[in-house]
Amino acid sequence: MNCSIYPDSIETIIQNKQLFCLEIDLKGKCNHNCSFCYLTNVITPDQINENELSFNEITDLISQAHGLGAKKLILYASQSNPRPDITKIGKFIVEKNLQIDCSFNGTISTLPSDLSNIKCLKHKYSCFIASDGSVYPCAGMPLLIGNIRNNTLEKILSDSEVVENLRNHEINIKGPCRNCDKFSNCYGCRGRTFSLTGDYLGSDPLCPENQSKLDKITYLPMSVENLIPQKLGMRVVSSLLKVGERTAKIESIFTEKSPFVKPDGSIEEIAYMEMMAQSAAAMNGFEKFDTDRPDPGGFLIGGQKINIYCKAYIKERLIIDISKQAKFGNFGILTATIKRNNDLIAEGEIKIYKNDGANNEI
Amino acid sequence: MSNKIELMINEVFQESFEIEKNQLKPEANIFEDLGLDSLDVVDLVVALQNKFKVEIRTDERIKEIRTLKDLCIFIKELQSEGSS
Repeated sequence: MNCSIYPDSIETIIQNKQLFCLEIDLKGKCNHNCSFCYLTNVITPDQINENELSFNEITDLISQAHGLGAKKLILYASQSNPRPDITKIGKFIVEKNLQIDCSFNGTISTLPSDLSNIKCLKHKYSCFIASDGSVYPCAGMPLLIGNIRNNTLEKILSDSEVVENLRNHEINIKGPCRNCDKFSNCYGCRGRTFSLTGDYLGSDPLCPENQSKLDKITYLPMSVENLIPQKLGMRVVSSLLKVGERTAKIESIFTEKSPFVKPDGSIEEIAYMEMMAQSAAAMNGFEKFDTDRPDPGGFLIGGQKINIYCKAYIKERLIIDISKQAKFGNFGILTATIKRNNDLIAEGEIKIYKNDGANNEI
Repeated sequence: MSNKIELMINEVFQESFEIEKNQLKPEANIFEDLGLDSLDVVDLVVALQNKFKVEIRTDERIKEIRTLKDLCIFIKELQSEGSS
């Protein structure tokens, strides 16, 4: 693709994992809750005054974005009650020779014509920073990938599995979108897809191209039946509820038929580590589900720091939160908690081997 | 600074892998001298992340590390990148 008005082509920026554009929420003390506001998906009005980025933090962020190759900043500002330093911020941006696009009260600006072809693929070259420094793939996708107060923007973007998956959309998007003629230049609206399906890599249910294929679109929560190899009986998790940045939330409900249930209706202790392992398998299975990518599977190597605090029983709704911690080669470590409402039933760390060949992911 | 990093790395090896203090010399090879294998390295990554509050899960440089000194240099680099 040739974006001749800019020194670097968008493709080069994407290949080098740089930024072309950064969106920053500078709504300041805006207490409006306008129904049309793009940003209410991410930040509720009562959060806006809390922990707002300082002028120095904002200029540092802009310098970081500039260092990552950004040419353009989209600022979301409040027209009626802007931040007092908004002019100073604007001046700083101009001094950096960056283009500014200002969007008042969440009205979305139009992109220049050179970007119109790939506006759907914006996560490949852009991200959104909320007023408290939280980093999201875009303003419409409330899927937290980090905070610039804890890490550099470069580190957050390079570590983010969500960003990596969106940048490699050709292999990761599920469902009808991937068979669409426009797939190389469009993956639908990701924010809308995430809000409607729970899956940031799903197919866009509101895209006109998908209206005859809605039954082919995957929605969360979904049964783990097609995500993990364990059959009924040995299966100790039920549904995948949510996916996030290297995290997933899974539901488990045991019945009296399960071999992991004791005569008093309580769950065998060995089942907790198995629930963690099957949750990891469900998260992995969902990443590959309906993408034409093979899932060669993997296995549990072991667990450590497994603590069981109290008993759980059949018919109770247990929620497993699982999080990828580290990987090396084909080995990975994940931490998990198992809760019943807010009660922590068990927690621990599991080590898995993922039979993934060259990718070396966990 | 690097003395503190060295001490903290040594603590990781003592706490996570039960390696004796007298084996923990800067030139010690973490595989040949300290006995770690590829299965242990992922535990090392988690332990280092927790100890130093850094993110190294996607850092390819971890694959090049052989000695405790290499590890110390790597952590120093990570910390300076984080603060830059």
